[in-house]
Amino acid sequence: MGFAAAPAAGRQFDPALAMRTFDVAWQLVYDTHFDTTFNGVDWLAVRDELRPRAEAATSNRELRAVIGEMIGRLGQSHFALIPREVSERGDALDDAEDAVGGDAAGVGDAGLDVRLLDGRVVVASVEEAGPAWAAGIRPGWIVLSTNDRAIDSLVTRLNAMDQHMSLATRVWSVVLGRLGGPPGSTLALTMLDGADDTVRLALTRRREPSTPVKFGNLPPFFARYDGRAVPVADGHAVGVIWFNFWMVPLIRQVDSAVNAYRQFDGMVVDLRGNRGGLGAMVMGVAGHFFDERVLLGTFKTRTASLQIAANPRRVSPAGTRVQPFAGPVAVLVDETSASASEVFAGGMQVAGRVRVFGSTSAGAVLPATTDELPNGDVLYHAFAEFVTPNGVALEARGVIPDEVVRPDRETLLAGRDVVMEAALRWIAAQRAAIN
Amino acid sequence: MRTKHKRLSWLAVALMAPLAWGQAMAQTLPDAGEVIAKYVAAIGGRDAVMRQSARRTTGTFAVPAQGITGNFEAFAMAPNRAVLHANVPGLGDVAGGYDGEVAWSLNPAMGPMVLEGRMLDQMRQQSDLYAPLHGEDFIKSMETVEAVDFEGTPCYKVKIVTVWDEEYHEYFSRDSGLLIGSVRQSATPMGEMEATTVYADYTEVAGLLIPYKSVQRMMGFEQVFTAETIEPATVPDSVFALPREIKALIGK
Repeated sequence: MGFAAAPAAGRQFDPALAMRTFDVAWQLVYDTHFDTTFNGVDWLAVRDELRPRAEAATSNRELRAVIGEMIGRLGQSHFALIPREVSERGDALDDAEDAVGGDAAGVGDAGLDVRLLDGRVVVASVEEAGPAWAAGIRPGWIVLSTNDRAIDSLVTRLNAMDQHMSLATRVWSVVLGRLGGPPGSTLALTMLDGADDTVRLALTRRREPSTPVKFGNLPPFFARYDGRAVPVADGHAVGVIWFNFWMVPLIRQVDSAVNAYRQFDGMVVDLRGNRGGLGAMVMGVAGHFFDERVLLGTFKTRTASLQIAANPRRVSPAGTRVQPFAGPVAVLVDETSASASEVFAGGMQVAGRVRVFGSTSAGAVLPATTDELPNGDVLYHAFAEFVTPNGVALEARGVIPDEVVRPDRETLLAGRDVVMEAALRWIAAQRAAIN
Repeated sequence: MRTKHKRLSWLAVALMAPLAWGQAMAQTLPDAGEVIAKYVAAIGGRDAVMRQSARRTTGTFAVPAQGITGNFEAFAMAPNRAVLHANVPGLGDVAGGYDGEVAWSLNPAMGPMVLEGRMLDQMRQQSDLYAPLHGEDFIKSMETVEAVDFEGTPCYKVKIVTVWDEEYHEYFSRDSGLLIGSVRQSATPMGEMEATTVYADYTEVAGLLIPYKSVQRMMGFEQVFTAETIEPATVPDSVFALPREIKALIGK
């Protein structure tokens, strides 16, 4: 995860403060990293090597680069330096409208999502209410450039980097950032359409239809939810639930959706594009599908083990007694499903409660926390690893689907979602077997 | 390596110390009953504790390192009913309570929960306004185990064994007699975690000294509760009524 910073205005760089900041950042990792081998990195040597560079820094930018390199040496997810300016964004989210309008960077979008397929960035979905759809963009089109910045060179550059996360995950993350921007700003796209003709388009980014959520000193999350009943054969239906972050404003919608879909043939929890959030929410959502407390995995810190278990949800949002949903549940993941999404998918998979469809998830599954550093920047750092009940750590491995299904350009151009189709077929088969 | 060496040295000292000092310490440590009696006297006496009927507390809480702050309102009624409502920005309204029979929590992320086992035991004890007396309802045995500095205050460390066979330690100021803190395995829905709690800013409320501030450290996270008002209050029974979700869970 990266956190871009606007230049800090009006602050004098204080070398002594910078050194305290570097030392505290190093010490926090030294004191709290769950693995006393630091993933095989000589953490003392890293300090000795990089401290002189922190001492030589003459700006926050240089200091942040050194600290960023230091935590990058761990080669693990959930280590990041959040610049003070980014952390403070959205501190007054009491009025969501003002927050979005007043600090709009990153919350405007074009209403399309992409994936890296066979080395090309391909449009995976387009929202019918968004500017991309209005401009005629459809799934299966290939993105060649964004605002005249070539995608090919981006993929080549990212591919050359030695990173713990897959190329597909990193490309998605960076391209998504490039597609986003302030609402009302222009996004110039060069694309190959379905007939392989080059198309140049200028879109005006809309305000993303999301709910801003500020949690502590993390930057604001822009949470989105979609739930729908998908008709299947003989008047039956399957409930589909999608959300992009594990954040509490969305759990009310998830709770309501599960309740509304309780009588359906099955449910699909679509975690594609879900980058994580509050780990505790996994216990609440998982509980919709268990009638007893079931262990989904463990957060292992240096000294303790915290159990992540489903909390059986035997009460409806209206406060009436219900049975948790006992029908078939499919979970969809791909390289854009990370962190809490992987805890949910991996834990439910090992518990035997769901069947997972799609492609291997991001493998970014380290429970993390934040600590404010002396200069006001925030260190985001992992304090535990997640291990499934059968002893598998998912960091750098990801959740491997029970049924590997990958979209390709042809199916996308045909308007198909082959991963969803596979899940719906499985649910239909499960129901047929029961009946 | 340096840390390991330090630990080994410390261990050696710790192993030798009882041989040299054990007998002397046993003679100088007060009986746990005396420590508790001094504590009860320090907070206002047994009568003041027993006179409590109900109170309302408002205040703030914070997880400073994570930049989390919020407000809370808590009610307590003798002998053992309690409820707390907190608003956590980004998490929403969190609540928990004990109505003399059922311990519960409402957490939007995890859903409603009826607390059982060790969580119920601890909630029952923490909800009891007479718990400072360390009576037989909760405590099976107590022993003063050493004189130590706890959070910078010279204290007597008292080992407490509850009637449900939980062991933990409380630290009482050798000077004032007040409870300075405790170290205990806190029962949570994610399992038991060692929690160090430090009490401060004791202030008189209706003849009883009550700490206005408590700091709890657990798993490297520090949580600070600061009371703004603590006042005797007439609290209607309805405040302690089980939320509808909890009633549904227990079939009431």
